[in-house]
Amino acid sequence: MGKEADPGDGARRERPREEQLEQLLRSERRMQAPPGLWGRVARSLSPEAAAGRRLVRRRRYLVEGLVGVAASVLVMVGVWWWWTPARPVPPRIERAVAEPAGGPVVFDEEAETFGQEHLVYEAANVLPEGMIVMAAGEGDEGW
Amino acid sequence: MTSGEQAPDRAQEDALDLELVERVLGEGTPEAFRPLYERYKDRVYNTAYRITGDANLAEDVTHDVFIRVYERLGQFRRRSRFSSWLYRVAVNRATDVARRRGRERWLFGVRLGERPGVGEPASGAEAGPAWAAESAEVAEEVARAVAELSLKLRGVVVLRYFEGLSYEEIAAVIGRSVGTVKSRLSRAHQRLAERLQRFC
Repeated sequence: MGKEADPGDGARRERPREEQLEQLLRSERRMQAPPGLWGRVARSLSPEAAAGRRLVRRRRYLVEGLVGVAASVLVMVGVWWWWTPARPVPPRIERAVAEPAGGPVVFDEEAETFGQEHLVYEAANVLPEGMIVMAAGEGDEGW
Repeated sequence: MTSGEQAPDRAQEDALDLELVERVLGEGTPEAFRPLYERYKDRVYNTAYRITGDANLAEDVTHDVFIRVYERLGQFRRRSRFSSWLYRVAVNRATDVARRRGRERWLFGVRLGERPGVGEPASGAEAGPAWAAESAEVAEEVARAVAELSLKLRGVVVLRYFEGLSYEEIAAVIGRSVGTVKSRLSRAHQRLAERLQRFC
């Protein structure tokens, strides 16, 4: 009868290797802090140095706060711009001629005004649907 | 030394730590802080050096750690051990510095003849020239292998094998469960074993 393979052999071989690795790592020397480091630490612990660090920290918090506010505003503006539907471009005011009871309504292209104020309202009835009609002022003061 | 014998030692260490902390809080002077500094300076430096891989950075990190500890000593809650809290500050600061450098896998700048830090040879070995050369080569390879680990794995390896912390202590330092610590150590083992197989 042949010798059957022991499934634990691999694990048992692995364990000494792990132990060797651990021993190798543990045997490494511990580094020591440089002798003059306490002097540097002590100087940094002085009240003046501490006050300086507090000032630096406050400035940093202020800058970070301003950057955060600016970023938030940018995000809000970006979201608003993205979600706001585009306004339709007002169509050009085209020349419209009508024959209402009060007489012809003529659109003066240069002045961009209708000649007869009281006919503005009539003009609104003959102008194509959707055309923006605005009126301001009286007489020939125009739109 | 059995675990039962370790417990009283640890309790004595914890009691001494708390006594030193109270002294600093009571006197509030840098000189009162010095005993605490002297007690932990090498551990913090060694941790910082193993994580950052650079002696200058390790010195900066050690300095920063003790400044931060001094400033926040009043916030130290006695729920955890002082050493765990100190190691947490050290590991976090060293990790931040190492990550900021943007090179998680750079090689140590350790070469024969350079001063990475004052240290002592491994115990039980005669300090002859041949041994010194071989030991330096091994140290360099170990340092490189550890430096090639990710920062997460590097942290637990340093705390476990270079600082001798228990699984529970490491879990307290990194704020994770013991299972996570073991998992990370296991992954680190695999990578280190591949890298250092000629020494094992």
